[in-house]
Amino acid sequence: MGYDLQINDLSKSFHVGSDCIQVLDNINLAIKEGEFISIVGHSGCGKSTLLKIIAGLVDYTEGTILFGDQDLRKSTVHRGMIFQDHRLLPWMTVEGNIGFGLYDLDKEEKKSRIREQIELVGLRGFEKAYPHQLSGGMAQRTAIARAFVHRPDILLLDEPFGALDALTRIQMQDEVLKIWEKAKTTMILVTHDIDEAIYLGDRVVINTNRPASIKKIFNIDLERPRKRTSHYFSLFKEEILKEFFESKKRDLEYYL
Amino acid sequence: MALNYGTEKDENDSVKKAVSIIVEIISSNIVPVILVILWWYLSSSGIFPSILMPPLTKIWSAFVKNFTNGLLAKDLISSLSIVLKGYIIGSLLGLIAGILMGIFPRVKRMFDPVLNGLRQIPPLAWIPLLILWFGIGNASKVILIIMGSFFPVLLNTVNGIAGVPQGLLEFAKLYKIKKRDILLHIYLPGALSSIFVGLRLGASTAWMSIVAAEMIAATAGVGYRINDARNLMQSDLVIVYMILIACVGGLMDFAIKSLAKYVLKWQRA
Repeated sequence: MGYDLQINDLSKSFHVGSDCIQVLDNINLAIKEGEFISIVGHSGCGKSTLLKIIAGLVDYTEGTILFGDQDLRKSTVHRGMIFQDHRLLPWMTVEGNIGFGLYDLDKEEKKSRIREQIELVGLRGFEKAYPHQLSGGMAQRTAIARAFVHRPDILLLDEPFGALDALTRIQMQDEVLKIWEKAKTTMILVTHDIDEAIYLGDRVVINTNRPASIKKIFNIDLERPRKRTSHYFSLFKEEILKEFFESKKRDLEYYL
Repeated sequence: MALNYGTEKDENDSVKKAVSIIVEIISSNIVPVILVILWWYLSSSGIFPSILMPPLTKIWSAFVKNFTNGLLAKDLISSLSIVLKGYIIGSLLGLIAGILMGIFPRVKRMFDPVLNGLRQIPPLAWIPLLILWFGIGNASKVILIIMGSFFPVLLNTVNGIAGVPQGLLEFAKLYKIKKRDILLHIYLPGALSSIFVGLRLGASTAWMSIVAAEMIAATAGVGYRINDARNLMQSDLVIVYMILIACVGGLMDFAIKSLAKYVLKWQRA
């Protein structure tokens, strides 16, 4: 196991005008290869920033991130990311979007890789469609296919289903699980949907409010496929809700 | 009964549809028709002398005469060739400068004050200086057209590039998209509909500028002829050329609009 992701004492602050705002405070987290991690926190707590740092889109202030034994900043690890908005190029077809940026492959190989991904997310017949012709769920599937076509070592999911309706969301969660079980990619999911976090994650990381630090980590030792209605599932949900609302001293039964 | 009711309703619907189509046709044509009738009435009633307000028949025969003797085509070709030359160069320069200023904020900061100042000067105000520098030949007119089409294309390209969603650029960074592909497949298509707005504005500025420039200094062309006809008191010919100018301007706009619709086919719902 040389490909674990190791986050040590990570801190990040932004300069807004003359103010210095700290968003991440001393984050320590070790993620095993092939693990599915869910990160839950209030909106604006800095969890998206953490993902962007891992993606290499944003630099960090202090600490280290190691991938295997290599510094993440210098490493060539393939990272994919799925955002809440699909971020497809409106002027390219589904096929074009998925294949865009697939360098170092010959034509045939590229074609078959795209076809394989389209099959996997169930978009056959829509290869030539433009994004505006797709439903929200289909557009997000295309984004998932685009992320997986690059064969990422780590896939970062930034509230990927937040903009979808509840039924489509459940369907998409199952499809992501299906792909994850097949591809064994390390997944890091940021969400504020506690059900989603428990349903998908091997572990659920609870963040504190800004500056975000890790408050608690839950080991979700439920067998897969999981049932959202099972007793143990509810117990986890109760425990996690307690983490968020204990300070308010409300009756937790209310939320269940 | 129900069936009967249905057909009656269908008939009612088709009558309503026909009426609404007729109303549509009338409302979109009534103003031009009234204007033509008014002109016809005023010019033939003798209220105004026909030398100032030529009757429709005289305008038509002036058109036929100049169309058959080739003067119309000659003037049109002379003006259009200058406009086309200047427009192509001006738009290309505007596009290139716009892309550079759109992508690199530093370039924009460097050139913004100067360009903003120059932009306030209408093309017509350049004519005296251009004639002093380049004479009354075609060169000064081509340069005038270049300046007229440059600014609208430049400004709209900068706006279009700035309007490319940040999320798409983030995605490009994530998947290490090559610089050339970012330009060709993200920046350019993202800015394209805005660029076409600039191209349309540039074309109309170019066409107006050439007419004005030819009225001041030229020996051929649409603007020259209209001024020449005024000197010879040929008001019918003046009107023929005015209509011609309107038609050509409209056609150019239509052509660019059609091209935009074709190129931006991915926007169509």
